[in-house]
Amino acid sequence: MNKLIRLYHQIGSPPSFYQISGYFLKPLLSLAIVLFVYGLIDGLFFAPEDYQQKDAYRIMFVHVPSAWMSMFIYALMGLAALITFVWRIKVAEAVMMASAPIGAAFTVITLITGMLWGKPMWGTYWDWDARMTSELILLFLYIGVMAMYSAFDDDPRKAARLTALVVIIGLVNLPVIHYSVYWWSSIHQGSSVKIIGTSGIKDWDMLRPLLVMALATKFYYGYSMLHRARSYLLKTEYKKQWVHLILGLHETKEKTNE
Amino acid sequence: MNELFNMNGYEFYVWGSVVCFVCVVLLDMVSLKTKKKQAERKIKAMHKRAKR
Repeated sequence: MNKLIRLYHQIGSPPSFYQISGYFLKPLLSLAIVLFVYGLIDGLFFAPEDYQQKDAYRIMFVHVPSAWMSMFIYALMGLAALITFVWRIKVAEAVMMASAPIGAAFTVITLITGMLWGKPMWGTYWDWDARMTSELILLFLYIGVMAMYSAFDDDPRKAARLTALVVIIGLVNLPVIHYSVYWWSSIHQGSSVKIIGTSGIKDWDMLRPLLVMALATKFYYGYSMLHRARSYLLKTEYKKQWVHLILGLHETKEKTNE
Repeated sequence: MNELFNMNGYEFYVWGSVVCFVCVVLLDMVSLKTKKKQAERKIKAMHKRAKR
């Protein structure tokens, strides 16, 4: 238990977080690349053809994991925002702000690949359907969060607290995205994977590449988020000695003082 | 080789989606490296200015 508490305090401190996260970067990126390559090859060339959608369904292997990530990242941002707002932990601020551009990137992929899937299946690239509209709102939320932070960039702590509030309010959009296909009549299909019930993909040869891609996107998010969080901490803690030590500025300063 | 990439008439949509996915992920990777370099450059510049 003591070890856990110590780890919690270590991770909460910017210099320790910077150091510990550094060890995870290469393994996370390597895992993500290997799984991306495997998942894409398996999904595009080896997964069986769908009886109804034929080969067009293969878009799912990039669309569905990206859609999951767009919501998963926002949920994590919400948690980080809550910690930022209540306990004012700097590392939580870094995680929150580092997650926003990655979440926006996955939302963009979701929307574009969704449009490319919609055209051959529904006959249109876009429809103001509840699922698509709520996903577009999610993209606006991500953009809004980043814009809000940039607007108060001169005072990062104030910017982070205000942004955290916007992120928390935006959490209401997540259940709307998830349940939109059930709450309103929608041309969008239901969930691709369901743990309970008979609907969703059941063929393991189709499910395997999808789950591999889902895992790959998680690892990539881990890599990108930690990388960005480290840059964020460097930028906001630039006056601190640990940053000078990392950037090799410490010696120069001492020499100047002498 | 052509058969391998043939998606029964859906090539544009399937490969378009894959290209979009790969491009956005690559762009993200480039942007995070740039962000780090920018942050380091900014701190070093500020440190130099403070030294003067």
